[in-house]
Amino acid sequence: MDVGALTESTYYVLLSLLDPLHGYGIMQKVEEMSQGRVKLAPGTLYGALSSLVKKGFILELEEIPESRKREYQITKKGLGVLQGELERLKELVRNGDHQLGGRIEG
Amino acid sequence: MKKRMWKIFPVSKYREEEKWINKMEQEGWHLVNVGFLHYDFVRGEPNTYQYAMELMTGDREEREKYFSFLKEYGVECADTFTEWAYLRREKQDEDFILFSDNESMIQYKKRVFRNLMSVLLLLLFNVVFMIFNFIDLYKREETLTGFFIFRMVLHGLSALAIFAVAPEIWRLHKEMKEMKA
Repeated sequence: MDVGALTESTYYVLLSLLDPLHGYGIMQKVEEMSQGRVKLAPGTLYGALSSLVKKGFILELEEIPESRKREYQITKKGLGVLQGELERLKELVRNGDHQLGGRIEG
Repeated sequence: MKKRMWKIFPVSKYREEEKWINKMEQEGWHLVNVGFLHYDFVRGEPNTYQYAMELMTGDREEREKYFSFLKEYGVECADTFTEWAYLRREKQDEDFILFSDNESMIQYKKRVFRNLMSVLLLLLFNVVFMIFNFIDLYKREETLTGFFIFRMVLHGLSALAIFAVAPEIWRLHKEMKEMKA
């Protein structure tokens, strides 16, 4: 399935939802994965989640009654998109390495 | 201790409004309630909170859902007025921002842009209505009544808001263009 390039935020949100996770947990996981570089602000994360639910890439799970937190999880469709994106990113890195590899001084 | 302040911010002056609310906070006044032309504050420790305003979308249910999502981030809604939410969180070293990447920021600016555009359309419609009223009066060769003048002054005053709204629309347009570049 070709959906074009994902934004960085979308990619990381999908990647953090291989197991069920709630909003703030997603933010923390993305921050951890990117070593503090990507900090998803609440409006940005909420917008990304809503749009991914609409596209059927992730699923909104039942609200946890005690904490009133809502968890999300990736769908099969979302997983396919993520894998496609990973292939695309690998291609970018491969070509980058190939073309630039010899020229990087260091 | 409570304090009510009366203040006029045109819809397009939301950036100034947000700054003013945060200035009040620095002076130890926490915003708790927003109404028509007035703001209620309670006295407290200065710089306890950071405030941010957001133009809402969706119906009541969706907004409640968003607010409960925000709670996970430690963000609460102090109050809402018309389409705007007055959000706050306990003060941190970092700025209180709601959108952290270009894409979502552009989306949000688009939302505000559309909202202000519909306000501008209403204001322009108001001017057209005013002009027709004058043409009608001229055709019927009636004399000016006090009521007519009163009505036209009201319309004229609201037409002035065009000069507040139009520059902000232009500014948003420019910002979105720069961000897309």
